[in-house]
Amino acid sequence: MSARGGRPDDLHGIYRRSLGLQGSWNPERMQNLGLAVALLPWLRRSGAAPVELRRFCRRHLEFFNTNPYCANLLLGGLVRLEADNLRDGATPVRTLTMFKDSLGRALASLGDQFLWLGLQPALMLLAVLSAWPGLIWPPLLVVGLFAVTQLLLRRHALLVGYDLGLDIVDLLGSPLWHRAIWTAKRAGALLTGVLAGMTAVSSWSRLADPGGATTVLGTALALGAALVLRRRWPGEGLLLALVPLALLLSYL
Amino acid sequence: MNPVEIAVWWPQIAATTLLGALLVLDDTAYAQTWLSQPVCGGVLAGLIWGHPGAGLALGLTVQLLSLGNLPVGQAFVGERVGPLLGAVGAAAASGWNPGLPFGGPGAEAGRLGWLLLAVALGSVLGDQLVRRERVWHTRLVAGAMRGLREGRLEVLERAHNASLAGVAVRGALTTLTVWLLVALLWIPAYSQLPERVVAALALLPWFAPAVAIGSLVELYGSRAGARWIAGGAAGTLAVAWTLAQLGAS
Repeated sequence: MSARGGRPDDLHGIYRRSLGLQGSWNPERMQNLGLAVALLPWLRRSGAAPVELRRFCRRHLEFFNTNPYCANLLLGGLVRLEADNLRDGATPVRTLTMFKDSLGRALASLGDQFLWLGLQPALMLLAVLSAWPGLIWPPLLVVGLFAVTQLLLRRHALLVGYDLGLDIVDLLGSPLWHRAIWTAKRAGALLTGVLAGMTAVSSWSRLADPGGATTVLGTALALGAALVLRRRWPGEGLLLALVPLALLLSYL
Repeated sequence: MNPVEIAVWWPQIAATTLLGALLVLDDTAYAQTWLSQPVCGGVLAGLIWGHPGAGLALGLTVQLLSLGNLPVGQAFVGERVGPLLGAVGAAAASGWNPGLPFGGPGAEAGRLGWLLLAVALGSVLGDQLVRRERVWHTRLVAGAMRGLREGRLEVLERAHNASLAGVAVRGALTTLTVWLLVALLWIPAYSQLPERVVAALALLPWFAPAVAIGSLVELYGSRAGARWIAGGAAGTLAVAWTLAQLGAS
């Protein structure tokens, strides 16, 4: 089971499966099956007795939810603690469960703040703005770079998680997390401003065209409506709600 | 478009359907590389059909609409990948090549608005499909847990793989269905639309950045965030003004 540096060979298999953590996402227990399936390569080779195997699976089929990009830190730590537990009972089951639940929640919070509220809007804005003049390659380049980087980082996180075990908790106190969240959110805010500026310039430059004034007025009114309705509506819903406004403006 | 014309496009249709399966998997179920984000998905579908510009025009506009949608927990996720790929493919097959309304001439903005409307409708309807699929996952998990009582670990893998396969099949079928509907019904219906409706449709792509800014202001709308937004806007306007002055002189 063991390989170089005391890490199990199964980490490669766990990594591949960890990418599908959300593959069986369900409203009741969220990523539970994804987690259990990701840990199976290690479990199969652990030599645990059938009763222990069932207990292990039941333990990890409880509710589980975390940020998928940060999950490998937790998965690595979990394999380490389960291995310690199986070997000499060093980690009580209660500690294991607490580790999984509390770290899962903490990583969900930090990961969601960084990824969904910071990095994703910022990077996608960068992709959109780079494609604004009609260029097709810059958005593919931006996203391709992110894709490769995150896959490598997720692999690295699994190894770090395994090496650290319970000490992963110390990582969460690092100021780097908050600095990264702050930077990603400010970058997103700055690029939102750039998008607003470019929209203003693009619509203003069409003012002299036939229907140009309607375009400027429509964009301004749509922005006002989006600001009022933004809390409840997804983008696609907002667009559908704005169709009557477009019809109204077509009479001008 | 008749069945013979559709048959001519079968390699592109098959490739787009496969891309739909892969990108829907990438969206939330596997790897999440963000290549399934509309701006990339649109370009990739456009490349299959030899019209990457059309893919970019639609993909970029849909991307703007979805910038504020947060893919967490039970929030609205939409199903924009299949409708987007299907719409790009159908537009290319029908000889539509809508250009970008921002920075370009925007002569095809009405057609782009019509396609955008199809993708938005497809995404809202597809969201219900995603929710049902997730309820099906709950049943698969419950079944796997029952199988586990008999000590069979492979039932877990089987249930998980069935979920992944279900997601891929949904992606493929959504893409194919939207392609057929848009190519056979939606695009031909455009020529029947009154002039006033076409004028209204031409405005829809312009609403996309407004929707994006509205939802992003919500996201970054703290006092500090507002300063950065204002700074970005002021800087862009200053650069545009300087470039215009240099151009004039």
